[in-house]
Amino acid sequence: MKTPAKTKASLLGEVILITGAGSGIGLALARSLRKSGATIYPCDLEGEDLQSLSEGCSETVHPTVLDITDRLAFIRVVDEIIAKEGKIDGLINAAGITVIGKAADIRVKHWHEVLGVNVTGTVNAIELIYPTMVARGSGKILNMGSIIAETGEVGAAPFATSKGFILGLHRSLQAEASHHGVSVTLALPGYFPPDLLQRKRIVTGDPATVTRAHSLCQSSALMVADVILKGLCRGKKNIFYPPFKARYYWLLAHWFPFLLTPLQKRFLKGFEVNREP
Amino acid sequence: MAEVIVITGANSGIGKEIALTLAGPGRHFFLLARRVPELEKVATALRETGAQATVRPIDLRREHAWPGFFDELAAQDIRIDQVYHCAVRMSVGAVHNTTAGDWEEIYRVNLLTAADILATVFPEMIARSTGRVVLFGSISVNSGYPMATPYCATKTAIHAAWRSLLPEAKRSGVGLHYVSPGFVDTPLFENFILRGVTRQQTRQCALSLRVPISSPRRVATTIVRKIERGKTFVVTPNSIRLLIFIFRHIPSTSRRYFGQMFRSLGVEK
Repeated sequence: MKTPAKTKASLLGEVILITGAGSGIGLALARSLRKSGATIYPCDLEGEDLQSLSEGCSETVHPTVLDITDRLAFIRVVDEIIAKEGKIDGLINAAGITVIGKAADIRVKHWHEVLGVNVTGTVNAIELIYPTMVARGSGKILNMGSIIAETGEVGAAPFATSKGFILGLHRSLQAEASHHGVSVTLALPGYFPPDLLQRKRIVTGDPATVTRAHSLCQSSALMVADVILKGLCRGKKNIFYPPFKARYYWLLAHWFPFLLTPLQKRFLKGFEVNREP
Repeated sequence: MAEVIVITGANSGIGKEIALTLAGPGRHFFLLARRVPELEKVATALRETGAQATVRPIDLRREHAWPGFFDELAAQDIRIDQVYHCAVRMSVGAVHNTTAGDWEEIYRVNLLTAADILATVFPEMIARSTGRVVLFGSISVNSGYPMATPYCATKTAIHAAWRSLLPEAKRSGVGLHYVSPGFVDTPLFENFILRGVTRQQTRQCALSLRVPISSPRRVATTIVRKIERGKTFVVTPNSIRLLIFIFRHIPSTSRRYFGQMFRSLGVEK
């Protein structure tokens, strides 16, 4: 995908670390940033897509294998980047996993898995990189939230919980970071990319129905990445996707949460009808 | 068979007062907290009212103790009827001064324990179509809380969990309650993890915000009364209700509050 000219100018010479760049929105963001003039460090667990990012631009793209929940490994990676480049200008926290299922079927291990990647991973990234940004007095952080942090979502409680964490973190951090010249942006996609909804991640219900029910829209990760990058370069604080529908649900949850009840009941019904024997 | 009530953070503050409010014959309390002497005192007070009380020292900051505790009760064929997750940890200080250890501690006590409760007791309650889980949030859920980011993040997460699970709880007749207390005079304020700020500054900050500070006993009584009436979203005291409304719907007002907060904590622009 082509990077818009305005995006290019503002990213020239920047060093950006992207977590979760092996799939979904993270991968799409990394692909869009590949030839933007920025030096990027896409991080993820081992994956073909991750390695293929550096094809043709191995000078500026450095795929890094990293388990973001492993703090010591993260420290090593951050130290290496700072030793080599001298700074990290941008941090994109795109890593995320989900588990879909009724409360009765979601076990302790599922909760720990989801909170481990979405919460601990993000905290590790911010705890290690944000202080270096504060010290330099500049930097950009993009957190991947979701509108379900505010609306809640039946059948995706661990994911909603982890995104709630990101929302609270974002709101508080934003007020602080502006004092230190660091800008913090929150992306609020209103849909699950297909990568998030792999079959093994759905513990109850029929995957096709669940996927249909849990998406505000059917679109590609590339389109989301495009909207996010544009918003980021314009200095937006919250980036909704799809821009109108997601914002509409967000406001609804904010002002009249009870209006979302019928929607949630429908989700719940979907699980019950399609419950696998 | 006695009604089994589990309370985390039962040695002081809201947890202790909730235990004392609920005390009475026919109830069996499991009190979970770190400091045993205080816990024993609460247990003695409960026993005097005719209730049974079992003290369980657990350091939720470090141990990953909850699933083990739940399994242990299940093995003894004890079914939990009510859970109150009152244990809480909070730090005051800028994010760049907050250490990995602080994040870990706050995450484990506030959020991971709540998640464990929702993953173990809650499904079992749904299967039985009875029971009650009470989670504690905060007014910061509505606006963010700079200088206490880990606390705010974990509380916002609890709010999201409550909203996601409420329809399922309602359908099966399980009570899933979210409580948003205002500023309560609890030892939480004495046990802050302080990073780059002094206790004196934090106290001044709390005073400068001019938020009414209520007593834990009154708050606990209101919470229990409202929960027993079946309210799933409990805000107490009532004056906080207005504050929440303003923070939620006019975000710029919270910014003014934050400015005041930064000034009294000595954070320069």
